[in-house]
Amino acid sequence: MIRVTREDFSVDEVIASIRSGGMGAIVTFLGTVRNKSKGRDVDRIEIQVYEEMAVKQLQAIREDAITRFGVEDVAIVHRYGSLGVSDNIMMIAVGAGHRPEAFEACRYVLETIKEKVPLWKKEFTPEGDYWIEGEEYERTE
Amino acid sequence: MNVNLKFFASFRLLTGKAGTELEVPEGTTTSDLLVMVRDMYEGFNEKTVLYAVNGEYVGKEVGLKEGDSIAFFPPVSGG
Repeated sequence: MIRVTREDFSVDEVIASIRSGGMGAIVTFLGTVRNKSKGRDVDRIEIQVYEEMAVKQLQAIREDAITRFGVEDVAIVHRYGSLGVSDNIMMIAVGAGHRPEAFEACRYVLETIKEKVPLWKKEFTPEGDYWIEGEEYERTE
Repeated sequence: MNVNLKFFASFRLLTGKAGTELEVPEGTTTSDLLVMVRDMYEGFNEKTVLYAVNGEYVGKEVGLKEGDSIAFFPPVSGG
């Protein structure tokens, strides 16, 4: 499963989309909206996406992880739009025969998404709104 | 020939738009286009921008074709 969506997702549904008899381990990562960022209170965030490219990139990352780590399957769901504190942002589920490759592949998928997939967070704080660009901040007003 | 430019995140603020069509000479490469766009928008840094042609990351000397979509954006921050 590869999905880029404005809607929330079910953790159980994402896991169910990859679960199979050959798996002895399913490792999941769930990213959520934190109420603080670089010392600022965060009221909410907005995520912008270049959707056609993001889907292509996520598909390539999934295929790469399966080949590179020998895992059985990978599901990735990433949301965009307006999200409140504690809301789900993204989920990765990796199913494998054994736990070492499942953990490794999950970490690899997450770090590669953070490096390559065209999604951007904008944080809304009492001090103003900020685009997050890599590790840097860009004040928007 | 005409190509389509797309801008994302803070680049929309910088350019004041989500995208635009641009006429460029035949044989224009991605690095030629980076210079053209830098000259069009004050504050556009062609050294740090990320770009993609038709949804794929490409190198600097890729030749562009009529109707290509070229996206310009800052470092990504998903996840």
